[in-house]
Parts: sequence; C-alpha cells; structure tokens
Amino acid sequence: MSRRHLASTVASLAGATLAGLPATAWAHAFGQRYDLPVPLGYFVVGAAAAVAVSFVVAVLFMRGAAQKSRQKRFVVPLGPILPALRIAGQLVSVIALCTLVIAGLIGNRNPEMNLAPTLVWIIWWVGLPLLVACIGNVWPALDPWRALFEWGDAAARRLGNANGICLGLPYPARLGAWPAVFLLLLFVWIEVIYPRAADPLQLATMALAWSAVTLLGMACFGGNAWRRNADVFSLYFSMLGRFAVIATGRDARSIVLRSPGLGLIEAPAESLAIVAFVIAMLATVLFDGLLGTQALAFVHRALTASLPGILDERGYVLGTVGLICVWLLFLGAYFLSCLVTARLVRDRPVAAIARMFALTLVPIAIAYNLAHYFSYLLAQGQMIIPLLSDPLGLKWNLFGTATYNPDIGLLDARFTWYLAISSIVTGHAISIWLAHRLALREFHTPRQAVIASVPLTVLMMAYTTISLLVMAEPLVQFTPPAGPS
Amino acid sequence: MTRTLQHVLPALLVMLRQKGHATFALLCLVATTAAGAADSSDKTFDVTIVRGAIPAEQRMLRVTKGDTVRLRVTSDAPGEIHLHGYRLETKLKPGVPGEIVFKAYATGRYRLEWHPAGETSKSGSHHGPPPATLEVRPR
Repeated sequence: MSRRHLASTVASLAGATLAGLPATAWAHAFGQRYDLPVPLGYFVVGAAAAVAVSFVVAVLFMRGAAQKSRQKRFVVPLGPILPALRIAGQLVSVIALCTLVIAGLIGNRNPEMNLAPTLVWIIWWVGLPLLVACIGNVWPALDPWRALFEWGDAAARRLGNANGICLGLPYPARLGAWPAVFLLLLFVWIEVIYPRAADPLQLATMALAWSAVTLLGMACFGGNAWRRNADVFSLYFSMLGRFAVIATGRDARSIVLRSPGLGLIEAPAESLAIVAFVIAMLATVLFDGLLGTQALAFVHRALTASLPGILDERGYVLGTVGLICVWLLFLGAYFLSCLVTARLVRDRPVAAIARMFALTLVPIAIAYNLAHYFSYLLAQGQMIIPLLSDPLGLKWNLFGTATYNPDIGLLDARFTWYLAISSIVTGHAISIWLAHRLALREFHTPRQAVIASVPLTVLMMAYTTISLLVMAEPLVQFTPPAGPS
Repeated sequence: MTRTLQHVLPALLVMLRQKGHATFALLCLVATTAAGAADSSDKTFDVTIVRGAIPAEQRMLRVTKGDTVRLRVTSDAPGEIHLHGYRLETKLKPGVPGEIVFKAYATGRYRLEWHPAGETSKSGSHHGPPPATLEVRPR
C-alpha cells in the first residue's frame, strides 16, 4: 500500500507531500506503510470464524448463558494519585501543543524532520485511540485545550469574576452532536484526502485554528456542553474509552475495573447524532483502508476515463465523494437493520432501537483501528525517538537519540496478519456478545431478544467481512511481478 | 509455508511420541532454522531506467524474507535510486550499472524510486515517475 508515501529523503519528501504523485495518489496524512495484503487463506479463515462466532454467541444466549453471568466491577481507590497524574498530564499536553505549534511555525519544513506530523498523525491520532480503547480514556487528562480553558477559568475566578471565563450561553439544542459528526468527517478528510496534511506549517496553522475555535466554544457554552456536542476529539476518545477496562470512579479519586465493552451497554447513545458519529468512526477507518487498495485505483481510472471533466486526475473529488458515500452506506445499512428489528419486535420506534444498539459497534471500530494501523504505528511511531531529540529539525540532540534509525523488521508480516484477522474476529465477537446482552436486558423474553438481535448480527457480519476484504485486497493481480534474472 | 510445515510436522510427531516439551521446542527451533537456511537464496533483478522511468514490467519485484537481493540498476541518465524503508541508495552515471545488495530481513512492500540528477528537492514541482515495489514476503 503506497498511500502513505513519505520518502526517507528530502527530495522525494517535499515532492511527494506537496505535490503528490501523478494520478490517484491519495496521500494519507503521513508516513509510509509497508504492509503486505492479507493472503486469501487468512481471509477465508477469518470470515469463517466470524460466522462461527456469531452462531456460538446466539446459541449460548438461547440457552440463557448470559443471564447467569453477572456484571462485575471492582472499585480501586487511588487517593491523591489520580489528581496528581491529571496535573502532570495537563502540563505534558500543553507543552506538547506549544512544541507542536512552534515546530510547525519555525521548524524544518520537511515532514520527516519535524516533530509535528509524527506527533499529530501517528502518536496522537493512531496511538492514543488504541491506548484509550485498551486501557482507559486518558484524554480528559491529556486534553491541552481543556487544561488551558480550566486554567484560564480558575485564574478569572481568582481575580474575582464569579463566572470565570464562561459566558454561559445555552448550547443550541437543535444542533445536538452534529457539529462533532461533521468535524470527524472533516478531520478524516484532512487525514486521508487533503494533500498537505503532513506539512508542518499547515499542521501548526490547523492546531492554532482549532485552539481558537474550541476555546471560544468552551467560553460560550461551557466546557461540558462543548465537549459533549462539538469537541470531536473529546467525543471520539470518550466513545473508545467506554470500551476500556479502566474507567474513572465517581469521585475522581478511584478507578473502576470492568470487563471490556461493558461500558458500552450502560446507556443508549444520547442522540441520533451520536449514532451517526459511531458509524463515522467505523466508516472512516474502513475508507482509509479502501484508499490504499489497487481496486479503488482501478475504479478511479475507469471513472476518469468515462467521466472526463468531472473527476480530477489526483482523485480528490472521488476521495471526498467516496468518504461521504461510505459513511452514508454504513449509516443506511445500520438503520435498515434497526428498521427490520423494529418490525420484528414491534414495541418501540426505529430511532430508539438505533440509539440502543449503536455503541455495540464500537468494538468493531476498535478492531478496524488495530488491524489497519498497528504495524504502521510500530514502524512509523519509532520516528518519535529521534524527533524528540530534534523536534524542529535543526540538528539538535537534546536527549541523545537524534540518530536513532527505525527498525523496519520489528514486526513480521505473518504476525501482522494474525493480529489483523484475530482482532477483527475478536472485535466482531465482542460486538455481537454486547448486542445480545443488551437485547436480553431491553426486551421482555429471551426469544424476543434473540429475534431482535438477528438483523444486527447480520449487519455486523457484513461490516466484518467488508473490513476483511479490504485487508485482503489484491485478490486480483493488477501488477504482474518481474522474475529475477 | 508448506516447506516450513514439512519441517515442523515430523517434529510434532516426535513430540507426540516422546511427550518431551524441551525436545519439541528444540526440534522446532532446528526445523525452522533449517527451513530458513534451506530456503533463502540469492535473487538478482535487472532494473533498467529508460528516460527517467522504470519500465512497467519491472515494477514489482518479489522476494522472500532472508533472501539476498541484488538490484542491478542501469540508467540512460544520471541520478540516484532509493530503496525506501531499508534506506539504501546508489548514485548512477549514464550507462554504468550500479548495484544495491542487501539481505531482505524485513517483510513488507518497499518503494524503489528513481530520482534524476539535478532534481530540486524543495520546489514542489516533482512529479516522480511511478516507482517500483520490492515485496518481501514472509517465509
């Protein structure tokens, strides 16, 4: 997959990032992927396992296994450790934000020699979501904008302003969480379609612009209302964090340990916008995978030939339309399955069913992330080691690691394949398990619950198969290999 | 894969008979190293750059992990050839073959890119020719 085409030299770097490659060079934000496509055999095994898992879960539920298993939660008091960690996290994140902006504004313009692109696109946007999903939502403590706002607010109160820096305007209820949905799609568009996403100066500009918007938003509507509705990153990490095994306790001085995924079925999605948001989390990762495939390049060539003048050579139009379409298709398929469920059980409207089950799709989104990005994170994430010593690309060596060379042999392709297939199948299994459990709790009889979860199970099988297909892409050989002489 | 299996399966059978886990581990190790040693080979590819581009039929080079790869590159114009990921490069003069020799220790797909001499690095006007891909498959 050549979509993350970042060269290891200045020459191709600047060229590839600023100008792109000729014809259908979708520039994924940053860095290069070395992944081999998953072989057909792994795909078949994965798909078969997904089907088998679905049946096993359904059978277990029909036998009433879930009623016996009870939700277990352990509260672990940590005393003053959590508040201290929080302050440390806030400091680190504000320093990181400042470094990012400074590096972007005055540092080296070569994306590989500047801290900003690696920090944003690899450590923060790929690494942190996986950490949050696997361990717990650390974003509230690492959110630099929240920290800045809270510091400003506390300072204003100390100076005698009783309302702090909050204007206390009511958040427009009609908008709901739709701003966050729009911003997620926009952010992913920047990540996978916008050709200059790796340019440090652009990144610094975007970080400054978002800082202004989000600080202003918090000042107008208050931190909580803003974060719940418009702050795409807070919402994104909070969705992933509900899957995690660690949650913060009520008093912020304890943590709660729970089974993975249980946080997702505590309450239904707050609104239909949140449903759209969860679906966007799935669709955008899948779309990113799709962009690297030769099949899409093939479609693009065919469309460009038959529709001259509408599509541009570089594929921006197709990319943009494709992103929206994949999201709408996923959303449509989800509502269709909810509609079928509503018809089958006949006790509540389709919107209520859509909100009820939406969060059970989060494990599939996490699995997509892990399968698509883990090897990329491990290979490209190593760049942070030299960059921390030389964040601006000025030949500094602050920590003595500036000459570290990433080890590309860290992960074997076979390990990556096993990980991809097993994480997708596991994510699928957890999603189906959660959906069944939820159905059992929400509907009157076990029979009704099993019937209600059939359409969703079918949908999840479709999502899983599609993601496996994208990973096992070259079932058709587009470029014949050259023989060694 | 099949070759590795051929080596591992007898080892498995031995283990089933003896139930000695240490023996099993040792045999597996021996079998896989033997398989690795037996399968790795030298692969030589001729890459001819004509008018600044790698010809279409030479754009996919497939090897197996552990192979010793020899890329013999000739160009009709001066420039540099870069193998990304492995971070290898060689400068070429017109008509004089250059070589990149390395052990394919890491699996994956890596771009092999030609950069004509005098290419301005920061002009942003670089429309590179399609690169070749070196595909290193696992054993």
